[in-house]
Amino acid sequence: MNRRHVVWSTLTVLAVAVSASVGLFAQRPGPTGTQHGEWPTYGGDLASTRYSPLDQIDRNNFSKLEVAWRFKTDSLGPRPEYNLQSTPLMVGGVVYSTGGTRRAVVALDAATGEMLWMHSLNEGKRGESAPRLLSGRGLSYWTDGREARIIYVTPGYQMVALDAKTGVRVAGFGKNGIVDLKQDFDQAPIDPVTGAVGLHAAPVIANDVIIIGAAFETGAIPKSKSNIKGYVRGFDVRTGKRIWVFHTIPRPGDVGHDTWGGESASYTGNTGVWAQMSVDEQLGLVYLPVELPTHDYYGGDRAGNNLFSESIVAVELKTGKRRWHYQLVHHGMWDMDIPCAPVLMDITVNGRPIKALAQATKQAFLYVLNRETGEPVWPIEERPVPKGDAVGEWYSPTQPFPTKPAPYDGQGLTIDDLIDFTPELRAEAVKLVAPYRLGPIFTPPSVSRREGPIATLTMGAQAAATNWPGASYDPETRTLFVASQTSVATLGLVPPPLGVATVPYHQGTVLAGARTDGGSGSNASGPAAAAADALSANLTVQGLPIIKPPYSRITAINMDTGDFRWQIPFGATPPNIANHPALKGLNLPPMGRPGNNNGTLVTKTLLIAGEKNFGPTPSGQRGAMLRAYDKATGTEVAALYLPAPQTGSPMTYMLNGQQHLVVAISGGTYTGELVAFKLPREAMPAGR
Amino acid sequence: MRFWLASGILIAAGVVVAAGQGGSSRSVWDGVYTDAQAVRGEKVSAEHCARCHGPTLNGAEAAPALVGDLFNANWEGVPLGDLLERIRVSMPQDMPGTLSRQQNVDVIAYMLKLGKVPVGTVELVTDSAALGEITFQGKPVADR
Repeated sequence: MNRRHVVWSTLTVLAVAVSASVGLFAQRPGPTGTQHGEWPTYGGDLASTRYSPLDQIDRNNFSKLEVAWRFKTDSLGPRPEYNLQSTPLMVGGVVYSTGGTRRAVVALDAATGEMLWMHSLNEGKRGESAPRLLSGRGLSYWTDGREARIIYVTPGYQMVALDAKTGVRVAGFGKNGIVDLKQDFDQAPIDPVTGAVGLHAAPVIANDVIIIGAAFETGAIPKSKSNIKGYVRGFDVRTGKRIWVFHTIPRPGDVGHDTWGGESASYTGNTGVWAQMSVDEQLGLVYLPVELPTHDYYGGDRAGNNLFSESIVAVELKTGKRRWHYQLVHHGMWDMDIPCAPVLMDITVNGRPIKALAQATKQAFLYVLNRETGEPVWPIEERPVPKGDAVGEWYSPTQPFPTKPAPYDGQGLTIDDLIDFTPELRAEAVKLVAPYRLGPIFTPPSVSRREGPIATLTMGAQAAATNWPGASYDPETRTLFVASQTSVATLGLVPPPLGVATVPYHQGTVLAGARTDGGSGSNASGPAAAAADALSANLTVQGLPIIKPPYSRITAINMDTGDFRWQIPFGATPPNIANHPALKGLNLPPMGRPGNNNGTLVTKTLLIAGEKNFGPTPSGQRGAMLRAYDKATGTEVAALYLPAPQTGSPMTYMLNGQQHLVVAISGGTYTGELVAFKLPREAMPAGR
Repeated sequence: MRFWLASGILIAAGVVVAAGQGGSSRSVWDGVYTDAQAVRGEKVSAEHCARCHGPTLNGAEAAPALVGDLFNANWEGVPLGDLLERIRVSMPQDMPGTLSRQQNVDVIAYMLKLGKVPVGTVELVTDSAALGEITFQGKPVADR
């Protein structure tokens, strides 16, 4: 053989040897899921199943888990963080996470939690004035087998690419590793410091494309009918160059532009995707869960159905071209932003295999669509809905109603939903809600009047049912799991205080005033709010929730049939309810704890979810419980003490033959922390 | 004589037991703020807290309720000094640390008022150590 061949052969052997010797930071293209015991993307895989096939941790040893490592995020920013929402990633023996009040990025040794590198961007005023602060929900990992990158979006809305091995910004990406997302946005120039657009979601990366959404201030008290538009963009993962933009608010001539009355498509904003997105790489589609347009509770300045707000839009991964869309709510006014990633699943319905997606929502409907065509798997019917009386408002005469699955949590509010432990409590509740407007789902917000209605009361709106943590899915049994909370929103409309806004209404009531008082006390006074005792905006009956339990639940849905497999209350009954004098002597069912619409993780045998608020623990120590359920039956099989509530959705990985379970906890006086659990050697099952 | 001795011992024992149950530190139910302070706090709340937490601090999309069962569960047994610290360091979320200690304790007084905690004759002070002696409880001990 000739000399050149020998040289090349030798070099090849050397190259292979060097790359094989790399222990940490080992990289290879794909897999994009959890099959090999890693967690390479926010949702576990691009379908957002939050599923891992690991089975070392099971019902018999869950309560024996011990802390493998912990990582505090206190000093990753100028002050400690009390709401850590990250789901970390694990690839190649390294854990990657955002954390801290500057939304830093850290790489940790997955065995010990030792910090390997840290990166943060001091954005000064741009970061401080961002609409979505703190450390967000996570980041993304990409590799082509040669190099690996971490991509994330800062509070000040800048996309940063880091070398995954060193944490150093990638020079060839954007400008010095940074892409200013307030630029190149297909709209009027946005002030780099004060322009109120940002993101707290983790980007999604597929087929070398980074897809980025947008988030805004909460939309209940907008200053005007105009705002920045939350278009969705695709960027080249290598260069940071923008490849495509999808206009969630159509432009003149685009499909859907005629669903915006007058000039409203030109001045309305929001309509971004602040939720996580899912991708089907084989179909080459990314699925966008879109939020409301400007103003969560009043649409008088934007007549029409307002496509593509509150729609699932399937766009081509490489071009951003819309393939199909399905609008879940027409002309929304209930703050029913689509809050989480649609879960992609291959199901068999009545013998027919369907590539489907399932979208959990605040309104407790699960919308199940064919993800190739956008057609509903089970019929979704347009049904007439009530009108309201806001001046200038446009009301959609109908709204879509999925016929299957059944709603998995409360919707609307009727007398029948009210507390009924005893006839006396029910009577009190009926009296309490008398000055309010009740009704089924899609009863519009009410203009607030002292003589009534004070507001519309409704479940399944604003912050109810499912929110950003979303659902999880078990592909083995084709079961979707979703945690939800049952809560009542008070949807009243009042004029905003003088000089604060140019829209005719803000959310609020005549009793409590608008949400922003402007400091002058112009609209509602202290005495009025304090005197609104019996008619309090905090609607409770002798301190008990005004609605029947359960207050939170986890539902398991058979996705081949649309039927519930099981539904359980989530969390122990709160002691103030269990011990309430008015309930003495009654045989009370388990009720779940209010506020537990938290993230779930599904493994080979378990469904795992932690509580979202402090509560009673078996030891009496202040904390919250991480609960493990038999995924087939919903029976709680074990629970682990956490010193603070779960505030980020849990994940799991295998390392050195040991399964790790990681969850972000924080709240109260407990600052943000990632806690990793694993089994002590003596508790590990043989052969697993 | 033995009767009086026995009674005296019993009474003393009762006092000891009662003191043990009540503890030497106070709870928020022992008259720890004034209405005037809560009225000041309401103004601060309207300007700095309501936009995220709602006009009567009942919570909204991005921020939890600062009154009611969930708040009570999250802060049960925590010294007020710790609550002040949490507010001082992290709130308002978009401009943390911009309120004075006085404004912060006044807001706490307003939160207690919203929680129907009875007033006292002395205001909450701004001193963390003194506040540390007052424990937050969702309900008075007698009601448990």
